[in-house]
Amino acid sequence: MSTHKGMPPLSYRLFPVLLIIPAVSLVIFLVIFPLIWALGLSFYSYNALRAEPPVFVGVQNYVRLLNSVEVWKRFVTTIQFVVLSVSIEFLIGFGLAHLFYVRFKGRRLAVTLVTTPLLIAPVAVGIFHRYLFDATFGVYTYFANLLTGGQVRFLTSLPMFAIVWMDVWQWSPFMMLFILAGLEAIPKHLMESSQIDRLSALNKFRYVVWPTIRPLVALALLFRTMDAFRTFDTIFTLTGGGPGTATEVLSIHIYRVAFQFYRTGESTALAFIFLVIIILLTNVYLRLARRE
Amino acid sequence: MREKKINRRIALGTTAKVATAAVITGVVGGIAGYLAGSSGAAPREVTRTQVVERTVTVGGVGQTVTETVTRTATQTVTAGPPPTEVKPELTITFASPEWLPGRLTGVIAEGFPAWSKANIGKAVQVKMDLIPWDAIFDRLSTTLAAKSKEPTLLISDSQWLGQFYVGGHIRRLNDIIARDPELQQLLNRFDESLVYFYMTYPQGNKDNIVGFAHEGDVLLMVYRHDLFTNPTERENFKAQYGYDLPQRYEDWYPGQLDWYQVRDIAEFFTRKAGDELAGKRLDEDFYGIAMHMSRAYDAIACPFGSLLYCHGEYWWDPETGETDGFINSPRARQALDFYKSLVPYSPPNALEIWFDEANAVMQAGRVAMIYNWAGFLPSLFDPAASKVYNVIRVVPPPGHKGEDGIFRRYSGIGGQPMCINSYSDYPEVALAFIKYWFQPENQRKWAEGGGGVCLRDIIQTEWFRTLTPYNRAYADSIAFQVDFWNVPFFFEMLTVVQEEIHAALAGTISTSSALDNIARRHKEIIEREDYPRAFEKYGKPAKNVAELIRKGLPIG
Repeated sequence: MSTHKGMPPLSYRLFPVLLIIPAVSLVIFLVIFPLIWALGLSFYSYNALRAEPPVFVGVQNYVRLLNSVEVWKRFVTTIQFVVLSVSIEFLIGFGLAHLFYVRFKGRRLAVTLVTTPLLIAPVAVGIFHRYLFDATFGVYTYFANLLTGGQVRFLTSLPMFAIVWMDVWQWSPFMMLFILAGLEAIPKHLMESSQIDRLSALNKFRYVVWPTIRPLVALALLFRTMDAFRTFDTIFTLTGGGPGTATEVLSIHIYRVAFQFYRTGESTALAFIFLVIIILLTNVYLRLARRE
Repeated sequence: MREKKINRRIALGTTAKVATAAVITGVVGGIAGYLAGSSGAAPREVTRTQVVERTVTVGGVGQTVTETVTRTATQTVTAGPPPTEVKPELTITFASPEWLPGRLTGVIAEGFPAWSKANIGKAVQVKMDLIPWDAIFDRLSTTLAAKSKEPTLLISDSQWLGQFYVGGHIRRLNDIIARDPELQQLLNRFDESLVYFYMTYPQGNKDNIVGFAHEGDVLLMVYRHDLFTNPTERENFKAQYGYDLPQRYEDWYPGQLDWYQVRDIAEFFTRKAGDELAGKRLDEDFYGIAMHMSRAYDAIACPFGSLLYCHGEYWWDPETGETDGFINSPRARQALDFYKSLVPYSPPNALEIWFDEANAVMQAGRVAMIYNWAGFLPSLFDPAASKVYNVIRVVPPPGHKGEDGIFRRYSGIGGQPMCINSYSDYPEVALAFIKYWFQPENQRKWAEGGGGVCLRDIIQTEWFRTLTPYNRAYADSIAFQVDFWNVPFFFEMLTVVQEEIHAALAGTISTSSALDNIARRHKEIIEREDYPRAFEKYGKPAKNVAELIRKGLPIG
């Protein structure tokens, strides 16, 4: 089955292309096209609920958003939430991974139980944390009151703590799984050599453990940071962004602008700014991971 | 690397197994789906359990004996004959919030195929699309923005009317009403304040009738009658505050009980665990009042609106769009300071309280008063859900006598109209359903099932007023209801109010800053929207609500 130039026949060369056409078409139709359409829309003043055509305003939406105090406030709130939750999740995940790296009876069951929060729908997590943090009937409140001897109002006085706690509760096991996978991948002979060479715990970690788990830690941090940046459902159901706007992260603000205020053009512009931030962060992580 | 060869027999066998598994899964799934569909079908009846009470006063020589007879009654509203008697030729959808009135509407709608067959010559089934309150605005607005033909009928919260009408999503009904004497007659049967806030855009402008009132709803006070009538508590209260605790319905309405007296009462009943309450030692803390203060949707705007209006102020000038000197006026500051002053007498979760949370704390028997929507009160009278089902009373909200000497009683209105989707192929069927809905028999079922009747001639009957423990208060409260903006940009205005006042209640910002921020941010929105100039083509509001409130005059 060869042609005069040694090339396979055209039908043979086209066959793989035919096979990927449906998938590529779907991606173009459902992802690429809406993305380009939305990018175009971000340069228009448009309200999807009004019976008025879009009006081209150039970069006015971007200028207004980048100069908006409200948007910057949400951005700072988002950064606070991401930094706090991802770093605590990393520390807890790291500790748990080391705990489960040691073999003990019931280890598998314990790992399964610890990873259970990952399986729960975020909306459900938000709703039951609302009950747990409830200042009148909540279980967390009950114990906090016992400990402090006062009246603790998590959702009013410590709202950032409440949303970070909820995120840490759900996502620390994710960090743990990645780091545990890294630990399991360390060659046994390296660990044995380090023991024979009587390396200190710090040096053992620095020269044996860290080089092996580093790529996985970078990947876990990357995933979690991107995910934390776009967290919506848990925070929306727990605090609704309140009190006031104390926990209103960017994703909630985008939702409000898009689906409550119906400032469609402005919301797409905000979504693109958000996208650029996430892409930049991803690049920073990847560069750091590669450099190391 | 060794490759494992797969022969044709194994391949065929595996394919057969996969196919068999797929078929079995499909069949099992189909049966399960069918059963789930059957069990998930609209209920054929709605049952409301409540306490019915009757007070008998016997006056003798030198003595008066008042006896309250209380019994629990279960009222079940059924759909009547099974719908299979008339085979539907057409099905339309009715989108409604998922709550008792929505389910009840579904039950009443089951009689529509037979009625429509007899009256418009076509058996039409109305299928309910019940959507949770938290999601209904998003669902409806995105559905309408996509110009979907269904739902043909939809429940719109009163403040959504402008957004849906200006967007061209709901029908203007004036031309149809003008041609139909039955609808004209129907229009005259609604209370004026309901026409003003439920059925027109701009508010009260009858040139644009865009809906028919469906579920009337008002904020009412629910209080612990057993505590308010306890002799020791009464004596202690009078000693502390110098006046009597309200004891009878008439003390609240038409009596001019003041919101500041309600705060006294809330303060008085706020107790710590271990304190005594009505002769009993408390195991848990007890609270004075539960008001809506949550950040969610309009949880603050409605009750704070009540206080704002009672203090003689409104959100803005609806004619000019001016906000400065309205929402940040000295009267508005007094209203917000008052609202915030209730927090210490509220449950610790005060800033998360909306209708559910208010009900929960009352049902648990841990609060003396709540201010909640009539539409959510039935569960308070359900012995299975409420510890206090037989010791509570419902009354109209209080008012406030301002420094100008005028006693103002206004309250933030709830409730919803039903509207017709502009893109529906069946507007005439929707109108037929509206006529069916207001048939006396259906309104009777609506009232008996716990729905908020909107027709004046029914609301004011003794039968209606005594049908539930809250109907009397509901009927008396209709006349002094006030709504906020129903303009197309209402959601942004509302969100600003929710954000700023919630922050003020939490103590993050001062009450003055909150109101100044609202005035500034509202002004920015109004200027951006070019209000009122850009909306002049839709007409003007019928009255200047701000002026009427400042003068203490009725709206409707």
